Amino acid sequence: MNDGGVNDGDARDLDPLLERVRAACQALDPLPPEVLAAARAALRWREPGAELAELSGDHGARSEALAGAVRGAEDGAEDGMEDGAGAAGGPRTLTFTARDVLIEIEVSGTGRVRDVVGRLAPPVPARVRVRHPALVPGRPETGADRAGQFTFAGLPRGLVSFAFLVPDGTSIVTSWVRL
Amino acid sequence: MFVQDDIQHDVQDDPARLVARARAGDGAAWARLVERYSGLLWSIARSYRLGEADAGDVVQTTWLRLVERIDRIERPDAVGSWLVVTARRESLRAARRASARTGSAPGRAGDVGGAAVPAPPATRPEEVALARERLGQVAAALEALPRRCQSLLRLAALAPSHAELAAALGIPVGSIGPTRARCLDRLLRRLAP
Repeated sequence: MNDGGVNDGDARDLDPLLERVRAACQALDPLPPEVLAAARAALRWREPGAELAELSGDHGARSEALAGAVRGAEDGAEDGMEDGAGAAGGPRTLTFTARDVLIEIEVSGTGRVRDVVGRLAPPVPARVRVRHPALVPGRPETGADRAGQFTFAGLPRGLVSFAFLVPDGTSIVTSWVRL
Repeated sequence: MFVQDDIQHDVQDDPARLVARARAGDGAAWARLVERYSGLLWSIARSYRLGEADAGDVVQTTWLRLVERIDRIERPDAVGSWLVVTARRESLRAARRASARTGSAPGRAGDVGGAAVPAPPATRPEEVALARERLGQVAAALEALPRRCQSLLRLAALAPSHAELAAALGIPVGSIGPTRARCLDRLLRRLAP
């Protein structure tokens, strides 16, 4: 597709008028430097070799309220849009699917913190790490018990991904999701 | 007008190559990708009428999605379009969350209809006033155009290629040329009555 723009019609063919549009937008609504810095730092969340567990379900009381929103064709399987717990007090349940394991996460709490109860099915005694751009990588960490259950209390809301180290040495990460 | 951070497009900037190097953990290649596309992703989020915090979240989420999938992305040469489509999906989600907070109706799926130049935040009034004066003509002309043209011109000014622009607008690559020409023409007429 992009071979230096030879066959690809560079949309920025330096039309002087477009150049002025770009300058105007850049001056009036610039990309904030902290957003750029966060994007540069995003690569540190790479987990080479980890299997990705995709979000396959997102249910909570407020998902129902939002079900009236138009679902675009480009919208994936998820229909939960809400932050944190459901409005009517029902917890929000997220399901992530990996090749051999299902990860279910129940989120509760309002305001700035979230409590998480998770379960691995089938149960695996895995080490579980929280990945959160606002937290030190690798913290907090806990272990899943014999029933495959694990808990985290008082996580800050925002983007989060859970990483699992399974006894056989393989690792699984969940897709990023907003708590 | 010379813009200092305009990135020279050479073989070093070939997206497929940058993705391959980032996969191998090359932070410099990753930074090039980030610099090349973040402005466009920001503009897409703003075209969904998101505030600064939500738009920043969309950009961050989009890059994290690329990190989580970087080993398996099928068309590394089309990473720009992949980022654009991802940013649109995340923008739509953020717009719905925002409308759930405020109780207003969310924008339609794929509705790139926000103002090209959103109302400036109150934190930078002097800078914005200066910029407005300097670029006032273009800004005023832009703001007088229909929303769709505003967005199209803003995205056209930032998209590295037609493929990414088509993905951002959700229209076929073939109709980019005429649509863009129409909007540019309207802008020109506003500038030179």
